[in-house]
Amino acid sequence: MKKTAWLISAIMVAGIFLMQGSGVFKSENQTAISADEMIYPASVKKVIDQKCYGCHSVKGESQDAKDALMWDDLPGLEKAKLVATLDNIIGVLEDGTMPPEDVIEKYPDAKLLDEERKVLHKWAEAKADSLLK
Amino acid sequence: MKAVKIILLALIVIFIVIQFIPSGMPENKPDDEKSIIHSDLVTENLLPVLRTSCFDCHSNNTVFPWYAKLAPSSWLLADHIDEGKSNLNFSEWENYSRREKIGLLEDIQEEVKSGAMPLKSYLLIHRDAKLSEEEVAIISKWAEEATGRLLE
Repeated sequence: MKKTAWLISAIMVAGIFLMQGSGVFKSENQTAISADEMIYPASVKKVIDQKCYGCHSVKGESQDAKDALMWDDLPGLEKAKLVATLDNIIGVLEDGTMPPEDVIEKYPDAKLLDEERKVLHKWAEAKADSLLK
Repeated sequence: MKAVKIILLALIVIFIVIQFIPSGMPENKPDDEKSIIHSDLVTENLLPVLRTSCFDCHSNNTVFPWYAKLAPSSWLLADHIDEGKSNLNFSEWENYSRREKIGLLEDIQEEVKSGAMPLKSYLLIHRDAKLSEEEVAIISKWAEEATGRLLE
């Protein structure tokens, strides 16, 4: 009887290890990610895609917007430039100046929700902090 | 002829009346240990450049011109100085976090290299504030080195 109990526990423990290895227990931020996603976790990427990417990417029409920030360039920036860019992003998030009013007037859905602002803000701050460690 | 006189008189009255509207001009304060002038990031050749070209709007030590006391030019000036200081105040340098300093140093380089700063409207009256190529180089080199030290 004792032997069977031992055997069952051993199988269960082994099972847990196996499941962890196979990713059954992995949460979103633990999954293996490519270099780009390393910088943008899924929750952040979603907001960027929906609210920022239209102007701050090669798709953008405004040169000013592209000069000011290109999300795709961030992973390639050197440390100083990346910290400065993150600081600018944080500043803009705190001032609430993006997306610009005229864009929101045209596309009301473009408005950055408080929740979304928090997601970006938290991420940018943590990223900058880790670079300054 | 009479109409001209009335208009002129009205303008004078308006001019006098608006002098009593407060301009909200930011006040000067003596620099304390928070000022960049006491920072070990600062190099000796940098300070005179900052003083003549930046400090009027980016520090608590504005050298006010005579028209700073006259409305409506005083309103414009107060606005500019207010905005300048809210973006960057060298007198309160140590209040910025390391991250903010790096961000500001990057902005400083961009602004002076592109010629966006000092403002054209400021240079109209303050000719000596125009940055020579050499001075732009001094500022950029300093900003780059200071950033490097902040990242150490």
